[in-house]
Amino acid sequence: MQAKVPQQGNVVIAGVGGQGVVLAGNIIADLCLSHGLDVKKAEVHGMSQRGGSVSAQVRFGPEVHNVVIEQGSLQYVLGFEWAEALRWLPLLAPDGLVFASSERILPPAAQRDRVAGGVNYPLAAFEHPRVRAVDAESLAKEAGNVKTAGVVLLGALSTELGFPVAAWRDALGRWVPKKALEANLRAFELGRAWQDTAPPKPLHSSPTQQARFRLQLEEAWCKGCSICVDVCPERIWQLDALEIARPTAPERCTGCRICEKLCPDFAIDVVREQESDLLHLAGGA
Amino acid sequence: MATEVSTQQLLLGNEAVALGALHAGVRVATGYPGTPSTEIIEHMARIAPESVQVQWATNEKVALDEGIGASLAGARVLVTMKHVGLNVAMDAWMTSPLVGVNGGLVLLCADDPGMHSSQNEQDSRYLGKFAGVPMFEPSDSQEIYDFMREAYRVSEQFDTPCLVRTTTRVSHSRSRVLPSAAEAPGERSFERNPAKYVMLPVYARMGRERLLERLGRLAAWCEQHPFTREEMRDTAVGVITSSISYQHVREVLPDASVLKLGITHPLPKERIRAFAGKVDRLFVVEETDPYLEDAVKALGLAVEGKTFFPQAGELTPELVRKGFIAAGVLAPQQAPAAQDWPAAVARPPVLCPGCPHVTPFMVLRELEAYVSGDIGCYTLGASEPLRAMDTCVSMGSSIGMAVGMWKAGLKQHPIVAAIGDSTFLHGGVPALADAVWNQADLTVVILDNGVAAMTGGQPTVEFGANVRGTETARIDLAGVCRALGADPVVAVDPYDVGAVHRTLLAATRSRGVSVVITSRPCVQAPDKLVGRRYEIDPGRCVGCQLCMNTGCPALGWDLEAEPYENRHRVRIDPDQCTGCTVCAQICPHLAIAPASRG
Ligand SMILES: Cc1ncc(C[n+]2csc(CCOP(=O)(O)OP(=O)(O)O)c2C)c(N)n1
Ligand code: SF4
Ligand code: SF4
Repeated sequence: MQAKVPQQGNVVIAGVGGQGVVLAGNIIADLCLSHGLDVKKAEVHGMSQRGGSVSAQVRFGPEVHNVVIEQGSLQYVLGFEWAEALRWLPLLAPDGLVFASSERILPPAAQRDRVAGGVNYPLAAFEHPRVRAVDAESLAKEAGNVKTAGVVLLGALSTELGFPVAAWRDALGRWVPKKALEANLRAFELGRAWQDTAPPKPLHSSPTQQARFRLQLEEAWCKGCSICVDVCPERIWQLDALEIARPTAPERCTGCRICEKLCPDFAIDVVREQESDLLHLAGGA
Repeated sequence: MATEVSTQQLLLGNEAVALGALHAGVRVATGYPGTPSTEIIEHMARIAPESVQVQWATNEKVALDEGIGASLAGARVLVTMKHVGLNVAMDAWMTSPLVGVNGGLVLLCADDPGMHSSQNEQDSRYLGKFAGVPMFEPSDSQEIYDFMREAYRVSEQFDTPCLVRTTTRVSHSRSRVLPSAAEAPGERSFERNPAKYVMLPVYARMGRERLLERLGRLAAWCEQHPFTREEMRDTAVGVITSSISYQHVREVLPDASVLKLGITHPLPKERIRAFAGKVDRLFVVEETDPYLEDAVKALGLAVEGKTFFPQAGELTPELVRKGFIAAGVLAPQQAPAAQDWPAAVARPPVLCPGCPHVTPFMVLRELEAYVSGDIGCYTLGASEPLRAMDTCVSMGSSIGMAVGMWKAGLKQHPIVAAIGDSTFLHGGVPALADAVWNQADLTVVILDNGVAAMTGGQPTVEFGANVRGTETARIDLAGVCRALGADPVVAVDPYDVGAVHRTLLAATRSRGVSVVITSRPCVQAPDKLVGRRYEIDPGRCVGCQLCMNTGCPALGWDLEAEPYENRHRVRIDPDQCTGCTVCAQICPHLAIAPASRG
């Protein structure tokens, strides 16, 4: 069944730098324009190149004033990345719909389980009746180009935002580089046949219980070369007034044993104090 | 005329600036990059014929000086910058209205409410008023185009530079533009006229008289101007507004009467009074400072504004709605049922994989140096995990601030100024001369990547090309520093961790002003650079995550390998690694090596 050609509405495209968010927004805006609708599009530029979030908002209708979408009125979210899509949920209209890629891109700052408390990425499983997870990455690969994942999602959106399929394809043709057009059209078709996949599985970061370590120094063997001071990623070792290495914050030891292995005089022992739970990884639990 | 609505006419605000200026017949366009104004000059370089001179200047003051010179020489000229850039150009800006113009001179200044990518949130409308020039505030791309066209006419008609002030939302939104016929302004030649063009006090006094007399004429002119638009609807509430706030008001209060101001200096006082007389309750809705509100109050009118609408940050339709609810204009809304949404991910910007700015900061942190920082991609050296920058105020401040720290007696650790190449040539050169002259003991690290990377990779002066890519002169940074008397001046490859360490250690131990230039191209611009990729042997990796202290975003959890002591081992994302080798150099377990394949 083909959905009706919309007379007004709005779409948010959300992702991270380099995923083609701005381009996807241009395609939708172009499509609206070619159907005689007024359209405005807001882009968030700036830090995008440096791995930050990128979003584009498109609003269309007979006459559009504002470029930004108001809370509670957001109709469609195209999430090129899982958590970026979920970011927009608080704005979603009650009958709004989210098409989210099930791909996760964890920001570097979230991946620091050596330093406690570093994770601020929604790792838990999340399901919501208005959120559709689409395995856009696999479908894009099937289309022959991973970079077409965004177009897969455009295909999924086209089943709801009912501009004629030919018009979608024309708009793609105007914006996508000639070389890549064929793969993009395939991706669009695969997207149109989208199926709700399972949302991304929960991911655990830090173990529930960290192992603890005791640092033992054979003082007589330490000659104050300060190699351990330099290599410890946690900067635990320091030389005291007598040029003997001292662990200043032993509780921070993560048990990497670099100091133990690199001490030329075998003066350091890293002793594991207690067994801890096993870490559950993706797919576990 | 058949108005075929085509994609070309869905223009970014900044594209509309360029198109408007081009159709007004500008012959020179210059500026200094800065978000959200950067795309204007770049777009101009794409659409303008070769006969139009389009270029980046070394800083905003130079850009405006070029603009004034071109105008006096008879050309219509466009000068662009971001809000803080106008502060840099302030000296010339304040005097140029006394001199006036020959060819039309329009300065486009883009403010950044909400500080999406800026160091402050100034409301530059005060600077238009301060200089006493006509100021335009467009609210979408069509208005930008039309206002640009009009600004050139006004500039020449009234013999004054004009200011067009946009904001991030207006500059970075796309909306429909219907261009009008391009004009070819008549030839104007340079006329020698010292009494008008040489600001000796005796002539400047005359210029000041001209300025005040002109302001009187402009005040009358703006009353009648179609850009001052009264939209009468329900008269219970009247709103005076401009720029993007107009769009918010139309959306939130579609039935209210509106006085939409396209020209916000001078202000059409009579129109404001008349409008106030027609409505029961008068509001001003504007972003950031109460520029309009104070002016309306000064007319003795009862008006409400900042009591209900925030002064900090960007306005949104929600905030405007909230304000009108608080004011009792709109009925309170049923709060949407509280939902348990997942916490929004924090995705702070990070330095790119292989960014040459990484190692200098790793070493500076190691040396515990006091690092007086500056503005560019490298400002990210202040955040986790590098965390090696102590101060950063405005472009070019680093060296002067370092001199001040030294003079104040900060001696426990070495003092280092860290500054990018574009920033050094923007405002660092006079400060380096000052440091040498005033005999400070400090080290200047010039992070030379050949471009202004933060703003999208515009070429800098030692790059040897300008915005159109054609070859230009090239400047030798080390030669400049030596000529200013810095000693030693050494260059080092930032991909060589040991060398960076040795060089910085030696430089910070030497007396006087030393300069270390870390020299490697940005991996993003002008070309995307990729070398031989690296990979981690999970068997050797002990999950110490020391490599992740570089902040390289290609390094992340290895979700497939068995964890080591409950911590994830590290994996390199082959799609992101640029092969800079830095992580391999610091891995204590020698677990990182060139990828076996490709
Ligand atoms: C006065 C002023 N003008 C312009 C800007 C915008 N701006 C921020 S960073 C930057 C470029 C910095 O280039 P560079 O110093 O070479 O450092 P890079 O980003 O290349 O590391 C510019 C132009 C600004 N913040 N302030
Ligand atoms: S854009 Fe260039 S200078 Fe900026 S973080 Fe990336 S590599 Fe570094
Ligand atoms: S070599 Fe290492 S530090 Fe350099 S880009 Fe690759 S993963 Fe990042």
